[in-house]
Amino acid sequence: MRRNAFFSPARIFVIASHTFTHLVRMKVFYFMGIFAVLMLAASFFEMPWSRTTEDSAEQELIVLKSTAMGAMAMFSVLFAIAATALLIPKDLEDRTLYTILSKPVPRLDYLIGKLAGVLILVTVSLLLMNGMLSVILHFKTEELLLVEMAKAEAHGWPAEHLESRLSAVAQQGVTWTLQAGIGAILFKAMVMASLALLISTFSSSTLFTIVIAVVIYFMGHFTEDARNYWLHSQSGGVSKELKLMTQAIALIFPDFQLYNIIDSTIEGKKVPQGIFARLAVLTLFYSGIYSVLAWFTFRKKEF
Amino acid sequence: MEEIPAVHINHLVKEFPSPFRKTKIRAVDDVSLTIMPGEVYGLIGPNGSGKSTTMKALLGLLRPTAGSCCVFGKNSLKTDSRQEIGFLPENPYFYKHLSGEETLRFYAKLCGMRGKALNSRVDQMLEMVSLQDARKRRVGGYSKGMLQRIGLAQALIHEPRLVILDEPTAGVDPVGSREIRDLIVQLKDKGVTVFLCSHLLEQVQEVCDHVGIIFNGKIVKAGPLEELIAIEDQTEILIKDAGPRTLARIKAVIADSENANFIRMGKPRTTLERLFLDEAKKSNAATMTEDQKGQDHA
Amino acid sequence: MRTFVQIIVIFVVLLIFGFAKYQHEDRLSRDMIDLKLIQPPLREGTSLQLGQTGAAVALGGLRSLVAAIWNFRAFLHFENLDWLKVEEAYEVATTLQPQTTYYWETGAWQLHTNASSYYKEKEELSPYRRRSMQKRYLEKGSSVLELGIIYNPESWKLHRSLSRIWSDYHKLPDLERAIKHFDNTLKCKSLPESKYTQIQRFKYYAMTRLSTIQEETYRYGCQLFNATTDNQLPKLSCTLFALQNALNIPQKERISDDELFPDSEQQLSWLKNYIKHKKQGYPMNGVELKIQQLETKALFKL
Repeated sequence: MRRNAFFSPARIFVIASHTFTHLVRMKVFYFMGIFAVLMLAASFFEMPWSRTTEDSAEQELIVLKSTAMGAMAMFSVLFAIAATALLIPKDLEDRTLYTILSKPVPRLDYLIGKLAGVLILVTVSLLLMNGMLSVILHFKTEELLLVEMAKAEAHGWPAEHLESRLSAVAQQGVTWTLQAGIGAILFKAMVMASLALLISTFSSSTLFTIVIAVVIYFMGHFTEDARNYWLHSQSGGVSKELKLMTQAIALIFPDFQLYNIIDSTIEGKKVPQGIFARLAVLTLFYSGIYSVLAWFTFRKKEF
Repeated sequence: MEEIPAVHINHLVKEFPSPFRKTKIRAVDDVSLTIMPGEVYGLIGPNGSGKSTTMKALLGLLRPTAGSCCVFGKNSLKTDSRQEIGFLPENPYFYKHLSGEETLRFYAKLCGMRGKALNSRVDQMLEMVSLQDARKRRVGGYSKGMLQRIGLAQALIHEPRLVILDEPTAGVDPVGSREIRDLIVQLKDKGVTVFLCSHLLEQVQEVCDHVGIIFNGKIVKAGPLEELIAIEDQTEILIKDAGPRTLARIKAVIADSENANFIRMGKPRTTLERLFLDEAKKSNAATMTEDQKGQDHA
Repeated sequence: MRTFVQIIVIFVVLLIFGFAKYQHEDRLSRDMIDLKLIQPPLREGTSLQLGQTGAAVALGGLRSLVAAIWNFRAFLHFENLDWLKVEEAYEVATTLQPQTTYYWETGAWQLHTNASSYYKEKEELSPYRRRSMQKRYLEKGSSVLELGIIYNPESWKLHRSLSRIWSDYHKLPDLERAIKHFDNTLKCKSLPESKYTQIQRFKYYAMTRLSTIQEETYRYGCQLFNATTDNQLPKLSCTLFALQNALNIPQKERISDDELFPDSEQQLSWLKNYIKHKKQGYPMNGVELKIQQLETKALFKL
């Protein structure tokens, strides 16, 4: 008898690509169409600007990026939660799970495969949306750079000033920094997907899983405050229970505020590689721990 | 060397917690059975008797509360044991978004098959279950019979040594049902062990050589089929083209014997199934001839 | 029972993992805050704390988008001249994106320029009421900028905006306040070099309008004049000319007219232009007289 590896990348890939196809054939990509329309609309939209500030060009680009990346962030988190929450209960309900688990498929492979499938889809979607954003942003930036140069000619700006204006505008265009923001969006989706996977191994209801995952998502934005309160709070005379509760929150929930670098990248701020790498490592740890816990629950599950 | 049994269930007990009462429900109560390689074993019993639970325990989908299940010597809880098993569940569902061919490829890959071997095997299976015409069609559009057939195909795709069938002919029309039973016989001829659950008793009687009867989680009777169903003290003789004088002489021989008693003589009846199949065959033949005539005219 | 045990185990594992990760998270968070990549937690006791956290929770990462929408809304309210709603809208935008100086600046501008002048010119109101509303919105605009500076202490633009408000002749100027803000602008490390001398000049001009510090102003002006030829501009030259007269600086110590002005024609033209700004409080000592002298000279040349 062939030995079946406990963890087989090939088998995981089979399940992942199958999950990907499954989700794609659910017509998820119609969302892309809506996204494209939204993006185009945002790019043609002329925002009224204050006449006291000279950085109206940057603001236009920032609004464009905000719209696009806001939509991308919303899509990826919601999709990561919903798709993962749907997968296992669906397999169970349709009894397709029986035919898979009656083959020599280790349960870990099954879980990781499902998770990987969702994440591949999120990644592909983000790449597509990123592509659309980059194209539109590029053209818009070029247009605005020309406007600045025209202004320079009309008002007789010194060369140094023009250069600083051009570089300020260019910094809001398509840059590596923006890609870091998109990376952060993907990381957030990874954490949420693995969390949803964990919850779905307990609960056989898709709705319950989604609700709990969303609640945890919001709680995760409090984690920073809870941690600060616990670690750096000066005020004494606070109840023990409150202290314990803030400790528990800070420890158990992920700190989603860390992913808010997305907002900074939208404003053109540079993200150092070190910071990005640390965020990536933290994400992998979260995803890893949630996946392992999901397997812990799932391996003994009876069907 | 002693042969390793294909299936060895040893004092299997499975309890489920009851949602309403404190006491647990014993779905399987000390079941032991052994199936040797090459046998066709039928497990029969009413709904809720523990058939499916036993099967699931064998497939590792459930953990035994007590006892053990082994497939070709490997514990059923280990993933390895499933390498040799092909399983067709009752009312099988497959991923509706895949075509018949894609479904088979998916399951084959899960079993570790690759490349040319996979491709040829998929073609072979589709031919075996007569689904070549529907291979590109989405499984979501398959009829019940087609689902059953693709289910069989995926169960056999990796050439398992043990095939487990849960109600393989339930809800299938007589023609399809006959095909499935013929297939089981074919598997038997190839030396594949078959373990099936059904409550269509006549069909079990036809294909199985060993049978176990399960009631309320307990095996109440088990053994080789022929031994179980033979009415010990009666003998059946079937004669063709016998004239009245021959029949009279036979009756006289029985009357002369010490112990034997004449019970009954008459025309044996065909089964309704055989009648249906004959009519189906004739109808198909007639359709083919008319098509032929039509082509000739053209 | 089994599920219950599993949940307990999961909690325990998460807690253990939590202990392992929280220090890293804390460090990463602080590093990000230092690099201005994420917003700092609000100081304890700030009344806005609940507001910001609530907003953060409610929007979970879409803040920049929502802030942009509120910015747009604010502009619509502006078109309807609904100042309270404008103020509210910018409050939301700045709560969501406190590190985006644009929202602070624009919000403040709406209040200290648009709203303020609206009330200043509103004929239906009594003169007293008009002035008091004008002042109120000026102060509101100023407060907005000051709050913005708390979140963005290094933003030279916000400091500059504040100095502009209080030095603006068309508003209700408070030159001492303006000068203080010009100083703060100059202290900002983020102030680009190209802007530095310009801000210095603006500070100087504000100082010239305060008759109480003329000596200090004059010294500063000379410093600027001699620092670079870029500073040798009409207004600077004219103010120095007037200050020299006001302070009765001895001839030998003065910067001569030939140094201050390119030639007498330019001097006449610059001074004639300069005197138009008399109402703004610039020193005018000896300007009128000089203009007469130069005009006479020009007449004789002809």
